[in-house]
Amino acid sequence: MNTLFKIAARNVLRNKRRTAITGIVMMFGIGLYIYADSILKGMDRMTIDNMVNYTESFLKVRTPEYVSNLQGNPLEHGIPDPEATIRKILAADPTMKAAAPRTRFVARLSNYEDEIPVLATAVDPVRDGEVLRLTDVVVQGVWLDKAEPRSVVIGADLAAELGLGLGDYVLVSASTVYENVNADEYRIAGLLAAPDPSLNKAALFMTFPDADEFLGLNGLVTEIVTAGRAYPALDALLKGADGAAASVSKALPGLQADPIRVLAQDYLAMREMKGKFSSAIILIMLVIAGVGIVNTILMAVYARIREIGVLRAYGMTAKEIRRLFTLEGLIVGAVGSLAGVLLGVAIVAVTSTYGLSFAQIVGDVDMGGIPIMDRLYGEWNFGNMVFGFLFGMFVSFLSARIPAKRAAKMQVTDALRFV
Amino acid sequence: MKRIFFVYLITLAAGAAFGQTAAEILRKVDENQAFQSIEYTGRMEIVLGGDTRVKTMRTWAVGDSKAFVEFTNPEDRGTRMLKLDKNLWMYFPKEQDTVKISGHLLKEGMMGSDVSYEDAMESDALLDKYSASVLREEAVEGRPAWVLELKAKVPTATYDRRLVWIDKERYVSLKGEMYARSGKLLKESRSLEVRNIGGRWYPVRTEMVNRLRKDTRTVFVLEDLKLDTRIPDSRFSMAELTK
Repeated sequence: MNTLFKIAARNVLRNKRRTAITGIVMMFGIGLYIYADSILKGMDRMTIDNMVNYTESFLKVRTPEYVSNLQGNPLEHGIPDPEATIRKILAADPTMKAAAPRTRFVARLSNYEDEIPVLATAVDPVRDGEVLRLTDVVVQGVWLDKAEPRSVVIGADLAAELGLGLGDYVLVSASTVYENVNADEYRIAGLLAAPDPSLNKAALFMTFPDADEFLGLNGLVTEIVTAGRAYPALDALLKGADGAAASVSKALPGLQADPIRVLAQDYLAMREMKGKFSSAIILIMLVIAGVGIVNTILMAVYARIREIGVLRAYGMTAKEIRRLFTLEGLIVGAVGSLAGVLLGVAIVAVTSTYGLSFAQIVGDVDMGGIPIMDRLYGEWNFGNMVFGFLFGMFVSFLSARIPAKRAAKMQVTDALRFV
Repeated sequence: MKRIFFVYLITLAAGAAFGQTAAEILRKVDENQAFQSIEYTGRMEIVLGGDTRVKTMRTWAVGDSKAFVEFTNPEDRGTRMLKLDKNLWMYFPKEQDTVKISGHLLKEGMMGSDVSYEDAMESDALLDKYSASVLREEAVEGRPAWVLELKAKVPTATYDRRLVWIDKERYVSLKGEMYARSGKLLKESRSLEVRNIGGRWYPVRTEMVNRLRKDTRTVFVLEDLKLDTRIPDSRFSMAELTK
């Protein structure tokens, strides 16, 4: 076997150009696979992180009636005794770190010329800041905890569309809890530029006292958002939120605790589709690499038919001939796969450290509400790198077997007579 | 649907006003407006900036709780609306899809107009929801009128406050202003044409202006108006909506 390996290695080195071409194809196939996987994983992580940090939170508590009427954002089916509920949430699971009440409603923003529908949220600014990170993305002005009464914080893009700026007054109209329309002017205290474009384009925040006066909330809280402990990996975060939601649900009979996996279900369903799509691309890449290996080894077989005849004449068995050419394929595959993994590692090292501008990747394409718009960082996935290497080796083995079998089938006399 | 053209006409009264109480004024307005059923061909002229869009429709309504509208203008032909009590469904023929309108969507302008779905289908008696007083007398385009102020008695009233100008001779609304709880003027209405139909005075051309938007107004015109005709119950069914 050792001798066979030496012969195979020499043959691989003898056909440097052919080996290099196949190795490069494999290197790019596997390298791009690792890169694509890293970016997709990074996109998942960033999307879910953005939802946890800016819109949905770790888990959300609502009444089942509210959830079943979610589309209309109704000002009814509120949480009974929200303060007691918050205390129970925090006591229900050790992963729960903070909780804050919110009430969502649909409003219209007007500059007396144009009207834009927005998703508005009444918040307790201090407690909301302990759960979500909106305070970090106020790019102009202040968050509501430092604002005067009768102020709102709105998305920066929304303000730009209405031609409004910090300190301007905006007319807000909405249905009250009594199903009649109220409209009033509020001063813009802050502008948001969050990584989630939906916040920037169509979000408004006001304090509970203002919303109470405006909508007649009378203590109505439609949801409680929560913060959990930090998780290093996406899967751990999803599992952690699932576990916490189960504990919270048990502690709050009659209420519904939805973890981020449920809150982000549309994205996660899309991610599953995306996973299938990326698998298909990777398969195509590896098939191309496999065809390269088949071609390289076949060329080697045809170029060395007389040599095969001599080897057989010297007593090498068909089995050994098959092994020899399989080994040659595996060596090419190993070199290509290793180079691919190294290429992937290099790219992931760069993208996970410096990130990529999301705009550079997707251009001006509307991402259909995917909450990502800043830099995208690649994620390390060592398991996938090992998989990429082994898959490359497997493809090489399968690809080398075809020409190797053909070489082994040749008769000594036919091989020697071959011109 | 009748709300579109006479929601501004119904008033309630409190206190004496030049020989007549606000309640008496309201009763006479009611005598003009009350009907068992109504059937008409309507035309909405929606003015947005420099553009005017026209929507035409055929409407049937019984009492305050049932209404059926079928749009007949080319862009919306076959689009139908069915209102049963507080529920409203819309059928879109191209998509062959039925959508239930509820929640905040009821506050949206109907078919892009300044008239909300809720305005269009409001059925509650205003007498129960508003207290009224006569503020003053004032002429509206040469016609003497009482100016009534309506204040919401219950929080569920559609508007917190209204001013309504009632024609002193014909007991119909000539003008209306609707205010939010904050005091903001939300909408204004004006009766552009009032006709005598079977001995009743009825506004057949009404203009609605949404004061939260600039350069928009909607003129609603009633043609071929029939009052108190017999409309079969089958008209107000889901089968009729999706046929």
